[in-house]
Amino acid sequence: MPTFPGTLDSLEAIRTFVGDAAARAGLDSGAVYRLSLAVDEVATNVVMHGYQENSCSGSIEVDSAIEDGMLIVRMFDTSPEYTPDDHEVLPEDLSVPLEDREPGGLGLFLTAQSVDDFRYERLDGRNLHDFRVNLP
Amino acid sequence: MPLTIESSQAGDRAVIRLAGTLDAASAESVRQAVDVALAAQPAWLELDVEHVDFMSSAGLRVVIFAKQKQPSVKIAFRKPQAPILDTLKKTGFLDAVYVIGDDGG
Amino acid sequence: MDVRIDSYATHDFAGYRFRQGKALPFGASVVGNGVNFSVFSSRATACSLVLFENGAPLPLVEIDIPPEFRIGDVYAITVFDLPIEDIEYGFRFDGPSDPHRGLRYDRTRIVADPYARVMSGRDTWREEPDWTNNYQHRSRVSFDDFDWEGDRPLEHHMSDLVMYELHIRGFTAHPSSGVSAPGTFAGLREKIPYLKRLGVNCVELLPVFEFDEWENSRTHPDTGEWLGNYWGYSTLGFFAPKAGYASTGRFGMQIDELKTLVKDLHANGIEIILDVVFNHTAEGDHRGPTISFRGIDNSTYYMLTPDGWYYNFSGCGNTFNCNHPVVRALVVDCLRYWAAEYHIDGFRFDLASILGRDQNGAPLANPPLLESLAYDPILSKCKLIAEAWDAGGLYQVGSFPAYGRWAEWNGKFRDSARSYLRSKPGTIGEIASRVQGSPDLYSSRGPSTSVNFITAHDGFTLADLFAYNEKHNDANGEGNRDGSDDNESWNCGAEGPTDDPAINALRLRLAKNAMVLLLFSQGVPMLVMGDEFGRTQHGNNNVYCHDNELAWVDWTYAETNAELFAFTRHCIALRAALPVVRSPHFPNALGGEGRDADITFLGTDGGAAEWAGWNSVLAYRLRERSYRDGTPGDELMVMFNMHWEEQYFRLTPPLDGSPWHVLINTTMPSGTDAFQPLDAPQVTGSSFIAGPRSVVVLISGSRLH
Repeated sequence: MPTFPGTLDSLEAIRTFVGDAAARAGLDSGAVYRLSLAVDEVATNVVMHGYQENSCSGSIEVDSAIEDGMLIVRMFDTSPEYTPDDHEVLPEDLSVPLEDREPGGLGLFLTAQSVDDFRYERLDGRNLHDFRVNLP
Repeated sequence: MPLTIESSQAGDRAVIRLAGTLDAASAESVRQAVDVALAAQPAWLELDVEHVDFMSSAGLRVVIFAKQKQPSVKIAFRKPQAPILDTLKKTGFLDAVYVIGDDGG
Repeated sequence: MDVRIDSYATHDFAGYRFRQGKALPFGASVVGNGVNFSVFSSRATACSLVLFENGAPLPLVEIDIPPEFRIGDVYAITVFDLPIEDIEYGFRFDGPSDPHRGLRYDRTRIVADPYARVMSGRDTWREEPDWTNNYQHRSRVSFDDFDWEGDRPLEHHMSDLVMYELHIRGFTAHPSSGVSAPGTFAGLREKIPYLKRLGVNCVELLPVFEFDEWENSRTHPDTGEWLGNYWGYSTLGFFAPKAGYASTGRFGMQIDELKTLVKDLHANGIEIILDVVFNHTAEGDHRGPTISFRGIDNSTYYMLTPDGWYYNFSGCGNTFNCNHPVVRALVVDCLRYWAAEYHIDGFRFDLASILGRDQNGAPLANPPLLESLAYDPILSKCKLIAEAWDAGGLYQVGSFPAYGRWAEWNGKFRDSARSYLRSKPGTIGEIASRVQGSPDLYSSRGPSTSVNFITAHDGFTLADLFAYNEKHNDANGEGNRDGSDDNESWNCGAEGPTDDPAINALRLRLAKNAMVLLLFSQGVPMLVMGDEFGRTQHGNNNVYCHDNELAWVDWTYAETNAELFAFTRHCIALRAALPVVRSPHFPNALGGEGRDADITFLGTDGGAAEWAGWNSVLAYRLRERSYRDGTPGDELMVMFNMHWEEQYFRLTPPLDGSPWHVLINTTMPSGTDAFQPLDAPQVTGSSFIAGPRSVVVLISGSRLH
């Protein structure tokens, strides 16, 4: 399980690791991009709102596996416990212009829309973010 | 890949050409470039993203920043790559920004 | 000229002529050509009056009060032809010394009069005393001769107050204050234009009764700094204003200077509330000095254990025995005196839960003192505010015996606000109650019972609340062991000052968010001096002993933090302009009248609010009750987004169909972060983006045409 420093400079390396795992698992370029995007969004939150704003530092561990026909990426960090806002945005609201936008935060919305399953769990004193994509 | 930023101005149109990845690490530089570009209160702000291969919500926030700083400005994305166009569509930004190709329309 | 029988002396001693005095009033009062002295002591066997020339080490004369002058337990004597302005007085009591029965009479001590209206001995702040002086804190006779020019207490409605807590010395001591009389009552007077500009209409003064700044004084072992009793929560004389707080203290003119301050504050629409400390005195426990009460009637004035030790519910050595009838009478007399003679508008009672304990320390269901104060005829229009806890484990926020009159420092507002403002999960339910004035705590009484505050003299300043995770009290010389560890603060990513512009911007935005939460909640808001321009104590949350820049207001911050000052001013002005946020009744109450408000909580999609613990977004619409009759009034849309991501709120139009206008948006820079109603920009579109960790307040357009 590779470990990355919990800084914004690691985003590139994390996306590369996840992108490679997705490509090896047989996902097409669009699905590879979407998974990298989801992971990037959450990793950004961990760095900025988990570590930086709590003036602590730590690392981000990323792991990938194939189980039950899904590619699973797990991301661990040791920043203080937090609860991502999991507002659901209804699909039919997306046609509304920017000025009349539906509610919801951007980053987590994109995350939820880019993978088939996304969960957060607090496990053994660490945050665990779990991303799942169905394999073709 | 880090991000390169080039700004220029032509009449009432400000253009910012980006190449590389637009994520949380590089977004602040873009926001500053937009801040400078809007000082002249142009009618158009064009973001040339033909060579941008990745854009997260950090990029979208730059657009929000621009619209809040100068509500009247029209924002255009030039030649976004397919995944970025997809992000703009998913988040409803496609209805707030213009997308232009070589013909400028 | 009528000559009265009681203006004739009947006794003579060492050239001093005197007669039996009148038992009332207690203390020293000028009667014709004499001064009447009256003092209570239930266990003394003898009492003498000791007179000094001002400042002299040895007495002028000591007059034994004849036993036949005693009425009940009161010794009263009238002495003629005294040069009132040139003398000081005290008493010497003889009686049993039997500490285990609570008796601590000491013939070698001269003690001060509990009812002294002027005291000398600390006439100039921090002037080094003569430590060989056997009688340090002396009583003097006062003249009640002051031209009030028609002044009277303002009787503002409690729900209209914006309170400003300040320390007389700390407010103007720093050279940057620009006043000609720094650290004094006169200095505060010079700052009245500033207070008016800020918009506050009530000042709450940290203790102004005589106290000894040299109490427990020491120098810091490493820095050599003088540390002493700066805050003043340790009373020497309940009827005397602190001479050291007066620029004219060295002339004994502190009474006039304080009355002039009150008169001027009132003329500018500002009420005065005094922080009063009846929970303990400066005499400490059995190891403390005998200054007054201990040598007069120890077992009456102090709560004692069955073995004669001092109960310590105050954390300061002794506990004043407030529910003993004699002590109760003193407290009532004291407050009546300040209300009647100084036109004081109200009182805030430090560690007020002690006032509800009986003589053995047990909490009372129906404390006579609190009841007396609530129903007292002279105090009937005074604000009574309780700090509803003590240091002995009683915590009565929401349950303080109120008799329908007492307000409380709402410690739960402070705790809930601090948790919510730093985005702590699970705080949304409670903050929803707090913005309504805490109906969960004060259901039978109304929002004006709740004095809302996020900071007080105790604890971090507002700026430090968002700049430090931990307290840094090393300057106190106590190894950082003093002060609370439970501050609910958050440093935003760096401990202390930083150059990082993102962190500084976040800190400023959180401070603005705090101001909105405080000033737009139902209840009575209280700010602390300097919070409006980011005063810092560099992470020290207990500056009780510092008489320097650490605790003083540095007025240069008013320039460097002009943005926060301007924003706070806007919020205070908006509160004054919008009765809907300061209703005397809880929102959605049944019945009710004109100034009442209705509240509806919403989710970001304009539907029902999300109350789950993970949610950090609080949104509600607040509208004037008059809507029920069809008369449009103000309607506000308030959106608190404490999430790190922006939130899109769907807006449904106000009830009157007018467009929304923006009053407040803390994401925006100075100049566009707050507007008065007539300047408020119109909202276009049917949604609004609230930036990360920000607050937005919108107003309906009904009154803006």
